[in-house]
Amino acid sequence: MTTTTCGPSSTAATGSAPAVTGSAPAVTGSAPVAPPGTRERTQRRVRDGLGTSADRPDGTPKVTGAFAFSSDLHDQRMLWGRTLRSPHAHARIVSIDTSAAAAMPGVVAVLLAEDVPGKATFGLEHTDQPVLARDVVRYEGEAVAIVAAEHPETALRAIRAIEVTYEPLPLLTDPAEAATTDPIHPDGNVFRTLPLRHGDVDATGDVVVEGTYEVGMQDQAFLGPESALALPSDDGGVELFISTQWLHVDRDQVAACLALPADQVHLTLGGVGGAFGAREDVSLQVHVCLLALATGRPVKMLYSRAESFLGHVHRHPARMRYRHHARRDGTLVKVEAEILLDGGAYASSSTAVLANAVCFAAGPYRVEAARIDGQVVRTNNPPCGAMRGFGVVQVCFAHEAQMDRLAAALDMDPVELRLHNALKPGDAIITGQRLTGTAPVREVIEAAMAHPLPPDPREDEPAIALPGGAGLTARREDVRRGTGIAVSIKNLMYSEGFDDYSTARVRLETSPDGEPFATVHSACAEVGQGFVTLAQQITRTALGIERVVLHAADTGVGSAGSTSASRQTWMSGGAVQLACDTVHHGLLERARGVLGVPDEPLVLEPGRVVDPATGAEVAIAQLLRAGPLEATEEHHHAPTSTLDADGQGDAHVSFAFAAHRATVDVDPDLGLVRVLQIATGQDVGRALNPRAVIGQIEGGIAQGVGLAVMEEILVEDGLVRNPSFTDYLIPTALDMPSVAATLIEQPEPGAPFGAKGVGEPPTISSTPAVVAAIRDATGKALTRVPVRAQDIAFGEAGAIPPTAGSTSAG
Amino acid sequence: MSSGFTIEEPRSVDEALTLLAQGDETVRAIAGGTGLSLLMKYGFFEPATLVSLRHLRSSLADIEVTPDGGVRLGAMATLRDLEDAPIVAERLPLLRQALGRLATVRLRNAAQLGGAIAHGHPQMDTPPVLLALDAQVQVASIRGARTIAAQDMFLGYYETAVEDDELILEVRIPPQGEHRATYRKITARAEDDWPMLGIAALVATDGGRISRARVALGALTDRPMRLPDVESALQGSDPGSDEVEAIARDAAAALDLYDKPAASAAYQRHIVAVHLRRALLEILDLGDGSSKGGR
Ligand SMILES: Cc1cc2nc3c(=O)[nH]c(=O)nc-3n(C[C@H](O)[C@H](O)[C@H](O)COP(=O)(O)OP(=O)(O)OC[C@H]3O[C@@H](n4cnc5c(N)ncnc54)[C@H](O)[C@@H]3O)c2cc1C
Repeated sequence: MTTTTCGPSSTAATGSAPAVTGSAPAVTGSAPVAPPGTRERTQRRVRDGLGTSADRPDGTPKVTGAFAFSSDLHDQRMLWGRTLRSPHAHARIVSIDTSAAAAMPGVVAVLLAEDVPGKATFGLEHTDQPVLARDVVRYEGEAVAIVAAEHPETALRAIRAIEVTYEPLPLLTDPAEAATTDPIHPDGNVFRTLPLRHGDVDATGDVVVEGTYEVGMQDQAFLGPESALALPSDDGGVELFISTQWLHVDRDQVAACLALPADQVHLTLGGVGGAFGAREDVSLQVHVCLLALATGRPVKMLYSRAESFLGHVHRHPARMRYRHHARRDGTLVKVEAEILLDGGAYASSSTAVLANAVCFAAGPYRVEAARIDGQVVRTNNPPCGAMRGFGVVQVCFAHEAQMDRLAAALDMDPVELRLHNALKPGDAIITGQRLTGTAPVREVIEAAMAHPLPPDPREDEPAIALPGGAGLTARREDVRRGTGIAVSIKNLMYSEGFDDYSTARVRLETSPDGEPFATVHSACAEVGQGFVTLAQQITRTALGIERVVLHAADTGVGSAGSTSASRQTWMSGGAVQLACDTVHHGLLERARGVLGVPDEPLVLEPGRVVDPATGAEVAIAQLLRAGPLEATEEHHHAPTSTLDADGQGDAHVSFAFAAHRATVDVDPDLGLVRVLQIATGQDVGRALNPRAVIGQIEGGIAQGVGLAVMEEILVEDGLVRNPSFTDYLIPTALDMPSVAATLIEQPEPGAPFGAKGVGEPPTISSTPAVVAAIRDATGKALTRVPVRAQDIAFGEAGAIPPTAGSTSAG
Repeated sequence: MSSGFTIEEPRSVDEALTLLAQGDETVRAIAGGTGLSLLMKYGFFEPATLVSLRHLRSSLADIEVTPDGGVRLGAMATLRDLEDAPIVAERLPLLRQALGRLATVRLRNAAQLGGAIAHGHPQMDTPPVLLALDAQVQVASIRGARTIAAQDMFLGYYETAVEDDELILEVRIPPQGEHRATYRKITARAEDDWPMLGIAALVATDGGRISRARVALGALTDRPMRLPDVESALQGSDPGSDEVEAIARDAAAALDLYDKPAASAAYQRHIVAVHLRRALLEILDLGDGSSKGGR
């Protein structure tokens, strides 16, 4: 178990950076992580191997500014691309006149839908989104035309010179009306309907609580806007440098739309400035390649901030109606829910987001029966897709509020109620799938609760430490403190029968100075999560060498799948492990020959191979004189099945759990909140790089706090009202609570090194924990996030009462 | 989008005023550029010529005590200069308090006092403070010099009484005498967000009684405003906390407000009532253990 505490934000304000206390977070009480290669074990450990908080190879360049993000890409001869976007949320395109734009000096190309040589549409799961709108636009910001010009300002002027005549069409903006309204797309208005029936769906409990909940539209708000550089290649194909989450799925969509064979489209990862799901869909990929091919010149595209807000998918807004049944002792009997997600104008990954919302609608609890009805629909609102937490964030906000309601109705401690129902290994979730791996739900809850609460307010506390902070709004006596808890379950990897895999190539050779070094080639998109560090750590430990070079992530090697679903440590880490294993075997093979011991079990140690029986040894460098060793391996996870007509099936690979306890100070009169502390316990399997895990936990909590009290894309009649960081606010260092984290390390069977993905859980239950804490401080019901100041000042009081159908309120 | 512009860097005020006197509203002074560059970026303003004030700073950034005991603030002093000036700390703690929490230090290092007035953005912190301090703003053009009372300065959304050909040269704050004052604001979301409400309140006392009261609100509507009814209710009186609460409630009820994305009109009215009460309790020393803001 690893416990780390990060300095409170007030510490940061007085000058010392929030630091991990108690020296570097070390994994204590756990055996060293086993290297790959089951029989042979490394006796002495290589520096910066698995289990250490090895430095990121891109850490220093990122801090000093030397790191090149995709927005820094440059070519001497490049043109600048720009997109004309629809100002309407739903309109017919009557005519487009590009003559004035095309005639402008410095404008090299103006392209419309008819200039797309291949498939007219793209999409992650359903190709329903036009590359360029032809006859109708379905959301504000939909791409209508693209231009390339010698100068970015010229490109901007050119798109303004394009005359488009629109005829506005009736708006479909209420998701509740989508299913019964005339289709706004040939594929219809319903992306997916997913019913789930589990156990005795007519069962009833002694106590019933119900509630209606809403989640607003959150944005991933990465700091590096969409950007790319495309270069025409000699074979008539195209070379694309791009910040993305999944190179190969981009490549396939680009190739289809360009009518090129996939091998003529080569993608290389540009430096990624954050992703969080928003880079999983195609944004400018096809556009920039089209322009490069049409002009025969390199073309760069770089979105403005406002364009970025319109140019990528967001988190699905949700409306949820819940009813929980329990016995008088708190045992959950049945969970009923209706879940409606607004998918916006195009499908993106909506169908998979809905599956997550439905499968995890009851949370990390054992429940005998469930009746869940989920639907995700098309509207003229901005398209929604992947975002950290992927469908689980929405339902977790609702089921955790329900658990608090239930606790109140039973007059039971909310923590006690959760512990009483917590899933254990061997239990089934509501899809009927049994938990065959680790499930330390009790442990994460206890770990979160075990952290000391933040100190009581001091009389002489500076006003800046109170809610309202810099505004000096609150007086100590106006402030009330509250604490809340929330727990989550998240699937790791892709689900529902998808045969997911990752590829890695590892090459071991000696440098001109005679030192052995390895090169790892993977298409895994590094989006900040630390795969680059992990790939080095795995290779060091597996091959007993320190120097590990990372080949640029590109499509020159097989797919690594998406950097999403908390999957890359497991999937691409596993692929690197397999490739290292093969190289490792090759090394031992050679060593047996050199040492003349054909049958001895040899051991790889840092820099050499040793025969433990005789003590004879041979240096790795010497073994490589016969030439490099190279292996390319694919790693597949255990297969999953689809969900049947009742939403039942073993659809998921693995599950991760987290608990968050939030402490807030609230000024109830003004409705202002300061989140003081988040204490968390997280099920990580194994912490392969504890510092990287803590980084994921802190970052995820920042996004969870953001959804709780700050972040929402405001959409009115389909139009985004706040596409800027002036109006869409995310937490800064001043808003961040202190984070106290305990890592629960129970190695997951079947996972490479026993490690679970850690990126999403911190985002999921931190939001409901913060809201629960605000409810605790104010007694308000607060059934919608983000919670606004006026919801606290004016919101419906009386909080979380037991409601209709309750035969007893304890 | 801008189709290109020139930057002039005059070496004297006269030269700057001549440049501004072309009768062309796309010729504009630029101080710290924090406000103007955003307007340009969004295409709301496309200048032909920007008149940089940077060479005028040496002569127009002084902060001095005037013979009558008031303070003279050079218009080209940055907000950070003012925040750091001992004279401001000593004589105008209200201003210092507001500046110390205005946006971020990056912004305060760049933005100038003249810009913080002429920008005319309704959500700024400095305007209500200048109203509460009875500031007098000295402006000049080739037509001559004049003084505009802070009271008459702010006319609406991005609109002030400063004419296109005029430059703000300095701000004079009359002597404030014995007084207590506070600036409180509400940033509903992020810590360093723009205010959604700013309250500057000041009372000068003579014996037990309030001899002068100034209360100004910022960020609510298209311009900052004084609250004359509150001021006259306080003036000459010695209110207790119940009266203060009533004064604040009545003031809030009388406001003409409209819904905004982050705050309904009802919520805005509510926070004025709560916040104004707290501000007055603080400066009247009626707060039961009120936190000492801004010291
Ligand atoms: C990210 C951000 C956050 C902000 N947050 C806040 C906040 O929380 N609180 C707040 O109060 N303000 C805030 N502001 C606004 C800020 O205070 C103003 O932008 C700033 O005061 C303008 O000063 P400047 O020197 O940069 O003016 P400039 O941008 O250079 O000019 C602004 C206007 O004033 C005119 N002007 C400048 N100097 C003179 C002069 N001497 N005489 C005549 N006209 C002149 C210019 O012609 C122009 O029209 C924020 C601004 C930004 C960009």
